[in-house]
Amino acid sequence: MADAEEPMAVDGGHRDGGCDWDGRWNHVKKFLERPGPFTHPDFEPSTESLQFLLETCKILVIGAGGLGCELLKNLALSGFRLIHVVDMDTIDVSNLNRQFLFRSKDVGRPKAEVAADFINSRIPGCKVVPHFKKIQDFDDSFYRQFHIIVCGLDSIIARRWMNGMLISLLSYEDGVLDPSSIIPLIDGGTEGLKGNARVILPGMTACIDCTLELYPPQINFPMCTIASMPRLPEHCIEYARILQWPKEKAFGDTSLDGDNPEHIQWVFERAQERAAEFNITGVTYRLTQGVVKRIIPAVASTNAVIAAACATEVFKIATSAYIPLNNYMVFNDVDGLYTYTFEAERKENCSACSQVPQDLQFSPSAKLQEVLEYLTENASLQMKSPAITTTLEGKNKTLYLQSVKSIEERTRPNLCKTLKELGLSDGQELAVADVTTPQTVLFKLNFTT
Amino acid sequence: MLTLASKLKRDDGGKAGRASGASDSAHRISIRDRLLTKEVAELETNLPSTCKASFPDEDKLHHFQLAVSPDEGYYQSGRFQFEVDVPEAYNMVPPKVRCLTRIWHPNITENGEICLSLLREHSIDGTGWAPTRTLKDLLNFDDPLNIDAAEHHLRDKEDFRNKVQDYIKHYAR
Repeated sequence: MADAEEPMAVDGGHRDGGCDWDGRWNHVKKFLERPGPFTHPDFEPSTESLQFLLETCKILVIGAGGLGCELLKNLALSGFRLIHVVDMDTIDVSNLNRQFLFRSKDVGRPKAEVAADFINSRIPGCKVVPHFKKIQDFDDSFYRQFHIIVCGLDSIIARRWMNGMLISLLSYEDGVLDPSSIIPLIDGGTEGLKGNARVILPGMTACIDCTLELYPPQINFPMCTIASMPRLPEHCIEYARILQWPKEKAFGDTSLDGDNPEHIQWVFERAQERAAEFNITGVTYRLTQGVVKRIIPAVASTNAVIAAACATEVFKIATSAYIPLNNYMVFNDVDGLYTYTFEAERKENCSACSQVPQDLQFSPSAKLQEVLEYLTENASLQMKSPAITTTLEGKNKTLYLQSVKSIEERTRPNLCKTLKELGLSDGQELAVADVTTPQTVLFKLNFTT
Repeated sequence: MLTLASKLKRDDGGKAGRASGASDSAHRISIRDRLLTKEVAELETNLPSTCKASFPDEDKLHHFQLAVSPDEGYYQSGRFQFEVDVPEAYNMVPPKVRCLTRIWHPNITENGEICLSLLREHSIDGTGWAPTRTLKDLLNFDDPLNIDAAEHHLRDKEDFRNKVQDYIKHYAR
């Protein structure tokens, strides 16, 4: 057990990074300063790896919820000190059973901020920077600064966005991927007693979109089922919530509040009546609250397992000391314990990562007509009637689309305009679709002077 | 390979990044827009002769209307206007389709909501939406939502046909 002379981390921890007490990082040094049977073949024990972790390695944690809290704890205790955390949510009372960086007094406060405060006070030297924002609020200059990004997200859309962002940061020289532009993405996900952890090297290994079909369809009850053919207790609850509440206005014009026991009781009773009508069992007060608050049951131990797996991968990749997971691990302890690891393969026509945008060299004063001619006349492209679109200020702009008459008429004037007049800039991405291409082809504008 | 990546990163210690041009998210083409460029370009070649598409805004490829004039069946001689809206999260989520013309149809409410398993994200029997589907799949079409219409059709086909024609005369001309 701990030596009585060793100061405990909980004691006033106001030391700065330079005052690590004796033996503080012994547990990490065991992995980095001596050889072992499981190390990477190229591994050389040294004191440099630990220094890198403590002083230089910058990690981004996305999500400060079930997985995020565990991740922050694991990373901070492993020696990572430069950590940023992004989460757009505030703390709800139902989070408190497992998101252990939060307390009752924190309900309503931003998760990222409370999590950062807790870790910074508890672990001397650790500097977690919180961001109470959506991941989409940041641009590439923000993400570029990190060595590794770990996700504990709760939505597929967010994962795809992050995936797309990291792929867009990749740079190629003469068609060869520059390894220093790769930012590894460690992604963890859990639902009840099931979870998965994966290592993604954008541009090299399978990305989120490559394995999109692995995700189960999201639960969404269609209105027709709710309205006329309920089968599940959830349908009865949704009926009461969506149709009866606004109609009967039992509480006046107030909207349904999932944390108000009287509201939940009312919905519960209406749902029971409907369930009785259709001979459906299973409507309980607890289920009612879960459906109204959209609570997906979460289990602390699953989060602990998956976050541990993810944090281990961050450690391995940051130190290059061990061979990382290659590349997808699933975990299930619904009945006994099951885990399996496999190498997810890249999809040939993946909409996110299978294409390296091809270079298009034009002067900014060239007309759009010239670009169109290049696409049709170039020997290796030989397109027939390409449609060209781009994104400006986050919105689509159709530059020219020949195959829909009404759009062709309205975009024809663009052909006589210069690329600069159309608002295009150096590095601009163009999406081109043609009868000769099975899917949209991406090009990157390279302005010549 | 992985170790190499880390080693290079290590030396720069979080470099400011190369000047690779306008690649911030304001200029990055979203998955939806990328898919739509192809799907809209192919749209007219996939439309049956009974359908016509119109785009109120040429830059908003995610929002358009479809005019359907069936040449056979109960709905012959009617002209029905549908509105298609493709959400940002496409193609994880299906397009939203509404019928703007009032119609007496077992799968379409009098408010224009359409009950079609293909348009739903979660379907027990596998006929629901999947990322492998495209706008092309939507154009081919047949859980009754308008129960009264469904029951009517079962009860008395002739009378159902009359009511359909009646609605067409009033709303779909």
